[in-house]
Amino acid sequence: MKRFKGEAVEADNRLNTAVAAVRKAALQVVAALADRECELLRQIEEHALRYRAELLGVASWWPDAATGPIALSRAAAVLLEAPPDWDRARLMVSMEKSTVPWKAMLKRLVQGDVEADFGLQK
Amino acid sequence: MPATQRYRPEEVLTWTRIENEVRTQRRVQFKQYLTGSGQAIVTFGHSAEGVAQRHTVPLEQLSRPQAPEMPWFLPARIEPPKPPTPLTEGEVAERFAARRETLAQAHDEAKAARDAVAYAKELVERARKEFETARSTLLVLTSGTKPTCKTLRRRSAAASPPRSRLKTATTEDTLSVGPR
Repeated sequence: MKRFKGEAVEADNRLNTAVAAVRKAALQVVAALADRECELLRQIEEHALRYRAELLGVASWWPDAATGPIALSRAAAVLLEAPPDWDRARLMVSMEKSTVPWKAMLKRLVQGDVEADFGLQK
Repeated sequence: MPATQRYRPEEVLTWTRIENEVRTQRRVQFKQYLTGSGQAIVTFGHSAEGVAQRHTVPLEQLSRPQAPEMPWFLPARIEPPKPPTPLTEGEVAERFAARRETLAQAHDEAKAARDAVAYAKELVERARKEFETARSTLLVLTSGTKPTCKTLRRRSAAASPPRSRLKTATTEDTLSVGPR
């Protein structure tokens, strides 16, 4: 009996190690997902930067000396003048709320859905 | 690399030459090479009409702009670290595939471990039942030893054929000594 119980405890330990390894591997997949989303953000920001540069060029365009520059609305002028407010971006979404879909993804990966991805449902 | 392929059109270069015994440097814009002559056309300054002035310059007088040399008494320049190169789509996909493969392997190992645990638990349960059964049997046997022996004696005496009983009268007597 003692030998059997010892073997059961040993098997339990092995299972715990394996479950920890699963969780670690799932976190690595989540990190790769975050990497991919960051690259997407880089592309979007690159596009936004070029867009801003183009609009700044338009804002400083003088079609002719008599009329001066084209008249932008105040809102547009303020938008172009001010750089993106990164401090506000940090406060826009709470960390708890923004990690909800990522936690769900981690859960799916840990439960065995190896091919889980955000796809369109995020 | 041949000298005629060093600079790109519209590239900003430094044009260095001696003018009136003074070393003069100008920022110029490269236009094109003059093939075979060792010279190139650059633009520098504008005419009254606003047209860029073109100059023919020996290639050895052109160079890419360099950071100015720091005086010896100033500490070395501190350069900010270069940002890491963004991952390409292929690299991202490769990383994904590798990590998903690792996760699948980890799941396989966890499944094997789960099966092993289930088997070990089943084994422990079976062993416990066997142990309980054996112990209760042993208890019954140890507590019922005397009556069983008596019963056995009685039964064997009753089951023995008459001839045998006659022949072994002394044995019968011996057997019947105990309480009936």
